[in-house]
Amino acid sequence: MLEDQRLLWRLRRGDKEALRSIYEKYKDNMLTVATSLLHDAGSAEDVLHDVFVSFAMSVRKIELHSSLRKYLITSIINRVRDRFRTKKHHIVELDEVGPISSDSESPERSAILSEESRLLTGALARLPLEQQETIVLHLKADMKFKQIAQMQGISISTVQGRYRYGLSKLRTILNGEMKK
Amino acid sequence: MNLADNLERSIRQFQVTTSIEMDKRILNDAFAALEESTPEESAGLGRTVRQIVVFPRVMKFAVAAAVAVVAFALFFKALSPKTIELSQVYQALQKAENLCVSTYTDAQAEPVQQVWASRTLNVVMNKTQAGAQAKFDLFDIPNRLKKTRYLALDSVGTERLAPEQAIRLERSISDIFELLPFADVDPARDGSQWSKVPGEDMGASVRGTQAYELTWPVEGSSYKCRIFVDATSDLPRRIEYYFKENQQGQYKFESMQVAAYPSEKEIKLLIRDIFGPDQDRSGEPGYISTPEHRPQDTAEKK
Repeated sequence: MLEDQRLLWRLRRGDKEALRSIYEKYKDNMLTVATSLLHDAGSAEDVLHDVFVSFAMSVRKIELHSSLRKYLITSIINRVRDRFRTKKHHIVELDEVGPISSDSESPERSAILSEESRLLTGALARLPLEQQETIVLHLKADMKFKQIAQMQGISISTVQGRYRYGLSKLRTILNGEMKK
Repeated sequence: MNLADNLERSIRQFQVTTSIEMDKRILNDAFAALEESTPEESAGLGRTVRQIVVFPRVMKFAVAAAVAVVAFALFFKALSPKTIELSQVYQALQKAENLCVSTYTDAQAEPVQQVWASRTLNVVMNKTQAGAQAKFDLFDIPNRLKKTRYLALDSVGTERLAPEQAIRLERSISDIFELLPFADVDPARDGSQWSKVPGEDMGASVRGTQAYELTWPVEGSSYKCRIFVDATSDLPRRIEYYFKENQQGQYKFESMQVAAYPSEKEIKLLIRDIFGPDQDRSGEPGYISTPEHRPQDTAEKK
């Protein structure tokens, strides 16, 4: 937290090395969250790119009320939601989504995903967006249920419910995949 | 056991990493965005005709005042102990080879985190948690190893560092030495100020140091660091961080860092105490410094 504050102070004075350090520190976590929610490596990279460039552009105006990590992860979540809105994504039915794919033109831009990760993200994609978000925020962004509830403007019990139902549905999907 | 059996753990372990090309693309664009958002140094320097006309008249008084101030300053400087500038502290930190920094968030006896970093050995070691729960992580960059030891357990966990991880860690070592938020003070540019804490008793709380305060405003709020600087080496020995939400409010204590500058030998001994002797590293080369720093080598040659 303190280290992040120092990096921010330096960044506000135009220090590029501070920007690099912040990127190095959070890029993988940000990309993992984006990939978990978008299930598409190319789109996740684009989201990471957009969020980080916007962050660099507006760093002087940013007022941090929590940690830098939470700020960046929230920015990723917001950008993912925008993507879902613009692409008119809807809550998908169980049969609609296949394994993770990439719409990235150049293969070198794609992040490396193992087979197990593909299974996992493919299964996550079959959950309603609210449940995906809750699971990813809790397990990948290490956010507490209370923090997720505050962020989404809902009660803690709703968050806990989404998490429980989401995991249970995920288990059912994965068991089904294993039997295939 | 399959994915579904231990779902939470599997999701936690799921990790996507960026490619080098992606890093390059994002960082290039982010640097450009940062440059765009950074106000020009010359901004505000475009003078109007009136300013140009008035300037020389004002200058006469300003020059006279400045000469007087400098004369007074030189006179008092000769009488008083040396004043250490922020840039000197920053430079001293840049030259430091080894560092141990302990972070405290309140008046607790144990630090919340301790970090040892050595530029010469190219290692970083973190200690988190306190007492018997303490956990040590050693990042041994030359040998590309990460070692973990829970103090309560005898075993040491070892994993290989990927080349990119090692590069990232190597870069992060210099960040650890960046104990100060910035290197120079410029009240005109960003309102930052550096001043010696009045009253010699302030420096007495850390023996052999002088106390300074660095303050800077950020959008209506204000930060303050009280830095206890070693009067001989110019290195910071303790840094206290304070924050106030608005100009009318009171500064509130946020955290404190205590810095020590151990020798290379002391760091090696500490690592050995925690992780065992070098030969435990399954044939990996041990920590060696340059030959002139190894007295046993020079003794053998003789």
